[in-house]
Amino acid sequence: MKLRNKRYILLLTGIWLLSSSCKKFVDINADPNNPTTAQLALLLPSTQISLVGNMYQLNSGTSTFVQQTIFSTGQSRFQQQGSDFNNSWDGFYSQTLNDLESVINTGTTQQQWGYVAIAKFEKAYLYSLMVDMWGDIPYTSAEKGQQNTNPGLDKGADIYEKLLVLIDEGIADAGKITTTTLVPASADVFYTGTKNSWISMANSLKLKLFNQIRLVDPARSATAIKALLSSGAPLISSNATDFTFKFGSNQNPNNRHPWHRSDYQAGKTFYASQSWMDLLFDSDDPRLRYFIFRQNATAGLNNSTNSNGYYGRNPGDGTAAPADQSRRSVFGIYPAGGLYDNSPINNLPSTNLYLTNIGATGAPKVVAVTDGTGAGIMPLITNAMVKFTRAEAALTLATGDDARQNFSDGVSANLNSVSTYAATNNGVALSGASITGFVNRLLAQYDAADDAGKLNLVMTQKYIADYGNGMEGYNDYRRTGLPVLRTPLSPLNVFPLRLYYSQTELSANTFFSTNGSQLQIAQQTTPVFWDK
Amino acid sequence: MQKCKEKKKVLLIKLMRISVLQFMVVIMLSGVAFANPDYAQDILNKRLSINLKNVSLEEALNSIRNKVEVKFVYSSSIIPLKSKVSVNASQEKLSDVLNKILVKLDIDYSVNEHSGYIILKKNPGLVLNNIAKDSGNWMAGQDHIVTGKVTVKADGTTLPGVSILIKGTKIGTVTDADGNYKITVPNNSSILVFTYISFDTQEVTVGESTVINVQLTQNSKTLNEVVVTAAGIRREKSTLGYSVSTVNADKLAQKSEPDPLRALTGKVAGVNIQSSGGVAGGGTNITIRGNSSLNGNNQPLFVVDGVPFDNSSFTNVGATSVGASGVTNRAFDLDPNNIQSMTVLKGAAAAALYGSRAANGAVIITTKSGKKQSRKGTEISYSTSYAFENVAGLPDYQTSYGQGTNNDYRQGVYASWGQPFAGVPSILPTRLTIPNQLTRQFSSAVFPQFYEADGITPIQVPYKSYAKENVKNFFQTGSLYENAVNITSGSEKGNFTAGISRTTNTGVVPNNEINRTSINIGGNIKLENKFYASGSINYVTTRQKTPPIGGSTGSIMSALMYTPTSYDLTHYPYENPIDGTNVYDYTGVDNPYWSVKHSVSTSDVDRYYGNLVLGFDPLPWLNIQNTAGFNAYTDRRVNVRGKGSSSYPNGSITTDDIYRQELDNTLLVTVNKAINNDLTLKWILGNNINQRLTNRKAFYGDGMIVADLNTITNTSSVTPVQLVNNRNILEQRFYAFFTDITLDYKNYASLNLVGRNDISSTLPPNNRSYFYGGANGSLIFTRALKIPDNILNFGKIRAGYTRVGNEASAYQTAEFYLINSPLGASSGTGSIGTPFTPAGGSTYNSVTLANLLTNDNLKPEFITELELGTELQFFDNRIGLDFTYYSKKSTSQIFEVTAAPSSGFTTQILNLGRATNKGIEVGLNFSPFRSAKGFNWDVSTVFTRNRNIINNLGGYKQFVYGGASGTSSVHIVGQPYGLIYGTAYARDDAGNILIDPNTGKPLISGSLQAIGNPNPDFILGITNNFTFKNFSLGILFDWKKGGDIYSNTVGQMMSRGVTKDTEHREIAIVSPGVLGDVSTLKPLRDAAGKEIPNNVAISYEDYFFNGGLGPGGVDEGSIFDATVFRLREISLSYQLPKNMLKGTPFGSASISVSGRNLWYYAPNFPKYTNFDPEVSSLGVGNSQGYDNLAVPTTKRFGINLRVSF
Repeated sequence: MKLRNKRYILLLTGIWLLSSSCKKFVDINADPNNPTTAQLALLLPSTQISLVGNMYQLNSGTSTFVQQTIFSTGQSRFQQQGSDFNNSWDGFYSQTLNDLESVINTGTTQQQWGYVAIAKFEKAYLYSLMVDMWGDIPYTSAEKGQQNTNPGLDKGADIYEKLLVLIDEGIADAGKITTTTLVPASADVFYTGTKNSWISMANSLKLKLFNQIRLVDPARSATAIKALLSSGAPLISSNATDFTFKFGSNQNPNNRHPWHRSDYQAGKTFYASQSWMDLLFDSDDPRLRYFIFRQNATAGLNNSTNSNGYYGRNPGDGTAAPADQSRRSVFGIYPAGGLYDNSPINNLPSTNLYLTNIGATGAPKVVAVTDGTGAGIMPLITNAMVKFTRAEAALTLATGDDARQNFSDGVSANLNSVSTYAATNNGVALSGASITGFVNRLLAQYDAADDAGKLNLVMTQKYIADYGNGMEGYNDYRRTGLPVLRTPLSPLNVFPLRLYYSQTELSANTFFSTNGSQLQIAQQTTPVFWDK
Repeated sequence: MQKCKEKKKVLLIKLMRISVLQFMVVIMLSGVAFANPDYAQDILNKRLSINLKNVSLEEALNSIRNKVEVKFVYSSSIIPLKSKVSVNASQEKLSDVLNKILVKLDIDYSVNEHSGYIILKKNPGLVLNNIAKDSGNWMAGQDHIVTGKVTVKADGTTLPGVSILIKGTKIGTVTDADGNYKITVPNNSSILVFTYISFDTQEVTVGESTVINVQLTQNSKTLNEVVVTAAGIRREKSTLGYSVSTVNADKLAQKSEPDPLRALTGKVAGVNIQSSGGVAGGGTNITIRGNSSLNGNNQPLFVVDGVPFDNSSFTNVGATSVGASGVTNRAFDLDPNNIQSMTVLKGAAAAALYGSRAANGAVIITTKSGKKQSRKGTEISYSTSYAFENVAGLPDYQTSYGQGTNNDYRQGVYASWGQPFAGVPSILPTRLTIPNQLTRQFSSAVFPQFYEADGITPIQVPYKSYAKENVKNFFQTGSLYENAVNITSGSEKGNFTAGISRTTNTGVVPNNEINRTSINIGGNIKLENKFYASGSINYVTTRQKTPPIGGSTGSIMSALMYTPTSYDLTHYPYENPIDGTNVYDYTGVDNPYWSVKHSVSTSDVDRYYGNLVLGFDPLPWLNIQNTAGFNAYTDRRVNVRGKGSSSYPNGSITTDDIYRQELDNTLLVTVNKAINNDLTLKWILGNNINQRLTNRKAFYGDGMIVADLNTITNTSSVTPVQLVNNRNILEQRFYAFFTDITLDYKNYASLNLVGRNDISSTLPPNNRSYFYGGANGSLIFTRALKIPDNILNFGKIRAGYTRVGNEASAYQTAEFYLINSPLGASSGTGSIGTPFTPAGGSTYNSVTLANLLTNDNLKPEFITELELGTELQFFDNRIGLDFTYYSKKSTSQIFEVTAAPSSGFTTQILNLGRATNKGIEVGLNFSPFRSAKGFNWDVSTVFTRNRNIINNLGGYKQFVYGGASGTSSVHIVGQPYGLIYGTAYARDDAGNILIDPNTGKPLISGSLQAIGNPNPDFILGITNNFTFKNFSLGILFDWKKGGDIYSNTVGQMMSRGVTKDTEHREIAIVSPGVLGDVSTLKPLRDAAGKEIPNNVAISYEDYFFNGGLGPGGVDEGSIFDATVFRLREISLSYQLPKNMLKGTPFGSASISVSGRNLWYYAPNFPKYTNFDPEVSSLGVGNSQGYDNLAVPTTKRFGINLRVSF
């Protein structure tokens, strides 16, 4: 018995020694792979890259609606599906806006006003764009994480009002920074921290928003734009301060323009829009060589072999695609970072002055991933856009601004932008004389036109200058009905006035679950609040 | 202050918590000797002291049982239990004690070497020695003496204690310890009747023979079968309060099936096994009693020799993902040749002791090396088998129309809606020749032979059908070659087992193969003191090679099944003679011949696992045993997209090194005591500590420099690959205390109580400790009520109610950021990789808040299960029925689901919901025919029916998850688990499809919808076994009823017009449906307000190819009912008679031929597609019912040989 007792004492001693370590044993649930806090200097670039990274579906789809390209047959026939804009919606909310909230909250706590200002400008830009696209969207209850996993919809008009306030807040926050940079250059992909550039962007955004809502309350828009112009607040007034995202040329990790990635490979998603190419071809527009690259000198509509190589699809063409991947026209050097089309063009009118075969020494080729740099650009708010907006406002709201001058400045700003970009990316620059001549020819048309004709010219040139940003063309078309688009061949629906919500949102948000399908269908035919 | 909160809750149990190390220390200090009582042959030598006076036999037996821990088996209607006996013994051998008691009562006994039970039998009126030693001849005056040996047919071991009776007399004997007997018979026409409990009775006419060796066959339904239940507890199956199924080696090995899980198919009720198709080493999904976790793992826990065995199936990462179907699940590392038995613990009751991880059931595997029982003597066995395999079924292709669309020949179009071939009766113009197809993309510099002399004009080639040979020629005849050697040597002290085996399976797809080499060593030993030990160690290498499969553009299957019928895939070149790049007619898609040569991915698994068991019997009623185990593997994968591929010309290499480690320790303290003569108690206290670690590193190398050199250093730039949420390292631990209390009343009632408390690292501190448990019991009512056994010879009812908790996976409780994660879309052309370097700018690093909405208040999830069942045996076991009903409820589920993106996250961790699984399992065995001549026919059927319903998603209506190629899975409240979710037709209220009046094609619903239910209605497996003398024939037939599958393979074949189903095509079709408004998706109405039936005709081609009603349109069109009938397995084996082996070194030999999947019939698929729905492109997981261009299933024929020395 004695021996046994000793044994138990030993056993119990061992157990006592051991039990004190039990908490430590299971206290290992801290993620060893990822940080749990973030520096603002790393978070802000993330918001900027994801802002543009998430635009791919949206941009390609809206570009299709306004016939600048053809991303999907369904969209080209005005048929939307719930997954069409999934990625953009999901990414804006879960990456961009979520990180922006984080920057605003942390930045406010840490009194990092430069970060806060930039985040507010980005937030205002993005939310306004999302209202333009989807109409009513979650805003006040969005980005709340566990606190609200089922955000409801806010009215687009209400969100716009809040955003205008937000921009002013951002400008005030920026005012608290006395240096010329809001944040270190290494934390800002857009403007390397330059304060003036951001202030110009903020004011230009206000101009855009006031013009956007001009049909709802023209008097208010007129007053606001007049006040903005007369206040001396800086706008984006040179191409150097364009609010533009510049892609990189790295392939691994892939920093390239998505249109380049998509078109400069064997399996292509896009068709060039026949109406878009025809518009430029027929109007002797030199930008055609920059916008479109031909893989084949003679391919034409319906895969014919006796045309000029500008082979795309007519909007609304529902027929199955033939095996034409190496014959389709693809995105050119601008804005996708592809190739400059320097080959002779068959059947050019002899009267052409700007789209000519002078110096055209190249040959069409089947493009590959190694062609072009892929370091394209995504124009968000450009000098040209600001000028065209001012021209539109002057023509429709009597803001007192010089519509003709702004029209002229807008066209030349875009031609210069395209030309400069090409020149620095192995392309060919436009001569100054060509630009001047081209602008002057347009001005002559402008002078000869009546008011409606003037607006048509402004909107058409804006439409061309917007190339690469389908969202602006889509906005402008719904607001003005200009330019007149080609009638689609076999549309499956009416022109979409709003985009379909993300299927993910519809499925996962209980706010929608009762009647998601009907709400979705109604998007097609319900105008956004500013679209009268 | 934060001192072990859990401690209080489990204080009592915690006292038992000891680590291995300390355990050993204690043992060394105590140092006392005792023998392990577990070994059967020692039983009779056990010594005991006993003093009983005038007690009933029953009491005496109980008393002996409690003292020496033996069990008695007898029929209470034969053994006079009430007879009074007396005995007095002091440290005498059990055999002597038994003799003292039983001889007087004319009762004989023997020890069943398999179970260790002592079997009591009433002597048939003659005096016998307990163990016959030269005692056969009792009848004087007769001189025909017969001798012989009785062995077990299955493995040739000798059988002591077999009763041998001369039919019609009371003359008999029993076999001795070595199975020998000797008996004197009256005359030549005497018939010897050999009987032995749990074996089939055999009758042999003596004739002139003087030596009669007999092999007895074990009953298909063995009443006293002992099963290994959770935590290695051995229990008599007849007293269990829940359903378990055991499948023995002979049902698993040598069946031409290298995958141990697939070999189980159709053999166990309640188990659903889905293989992913004909890829050598493809994943196999197994679920038991349906899916209970909405989102977590639903695979059962695998336990090999007492240690958890990881069965993960890691999906591939990076740009070259070959699809989940090609990825092996790691249970494949188990060689069926080394499996002694597989026990399936189906319900919560059975598996509760394993805790949360066995919430979906458990598969307990005992390997030959881990077997604890020893056997005397040395045996070497060798088995080999060879099988060849072919694709089980290929479509019947149409041979009338070639490549093209709109009845027109078109180059490069991936459809066969072209012009009719010359000679085809048609209203369309036929065509005789076409320009060589490859001239469309390749100049005469590449292929001068395809051009006329001018180098510009393509040569004309015949326009004809190659459909019959294109696909057929691509697939090859695969093979399966298995070799295994096993050595067992043992004595009473212990034994030693070693084995080596090698399996090579070459797939039907060229360059697809998997081979597995495993080495195992195991042994056990009893020490002269009270200790015993056993251990085993295994090393396995599994090497897999797979060309890209799964639907992506680089995949061999992406276009193979619907190659344009007029394209000569077999004979056209697939490599560019100049630079070796891909040659094909279809831009952007790789020629399958090119892919299998240049884009072959590999997976190299090295796995090591083993265990060490130390046991100690300090007191006769107390046993302490500790099992320490480890199980680890590395899987080094290299995924290759060959240089010169059309889908990605640069080529790329992704390496992915996965390390998985599991350490587990279980300490058991077992108390075995009789409370009184009728009631015995077995009380187990246990502690379990477990750690799991996954460490994974993946790198993407872009741009191969030299073709076909598959190393990542052969790439121009290398970047790390981010796994989902960048979780490269995952570590989790738990420890648990448990108890298992069994009360046995007499020999017919049993009650089992189980409780367990887990403390898991993955739950937040305040919720990490959770308790669960349950109760189950059984009553053998035929014994309790003493029901005469002439009709119902055995009847038992059982019931159990158990709750099992389940932990979360690691790191789901705290928010985190991702460093340099791709931004924008997570993959594809829309994404932007980071670090980001804009043109002309400097590099930006970034962090972004992860899109996973974590939950810092996670609670464990619980599964509650009620199980009721009965086992009935009729007519001396001729008919046996095992019926189980279960109702399983899963609550407060932890699941990761899609979040509303506007909340800022795309996935969220929820802790809610309720799902139920209700079902029945029926096992019915009967023997339609048994003859004295040894011809037996046994039928065993297993029937499984499970119904699962999602009852509650915490206010949500549905959750979408998983999926592939646009379709996904969805849980919807009130609907079955995991419906298929995709694009659907717009319908009116009556369910009619709405048709666009402008196009005649169906309108598409505004949102994605549930379009199919992949859960089968029931599964029925029927095994017929015929035995005659040394022959045995087994035929397994199964029938899976219902369950939908989204088949992209069938959809594509139909839409591309390649099979005979779409041959008669020169017609127009008016799709059934009503006209609808394209904008509102409401039906159009005529003046009377009535819906208008569709009146717009479309071409036959449009119906299938261009968004019509056929499978080529919306996802819903590609949903099929996957009901399938199948001849799963057939095997004919022959055991060579001993006399044939005389003069050879072999002790026994058997030869068999087997076939797998020889025939199937899936009635609800388009007839000529010959589609076998037993494919799954998503491999292992909760998203089932998808075929995204999977490799078709295979059939195998094999020949197997097994010899022992």
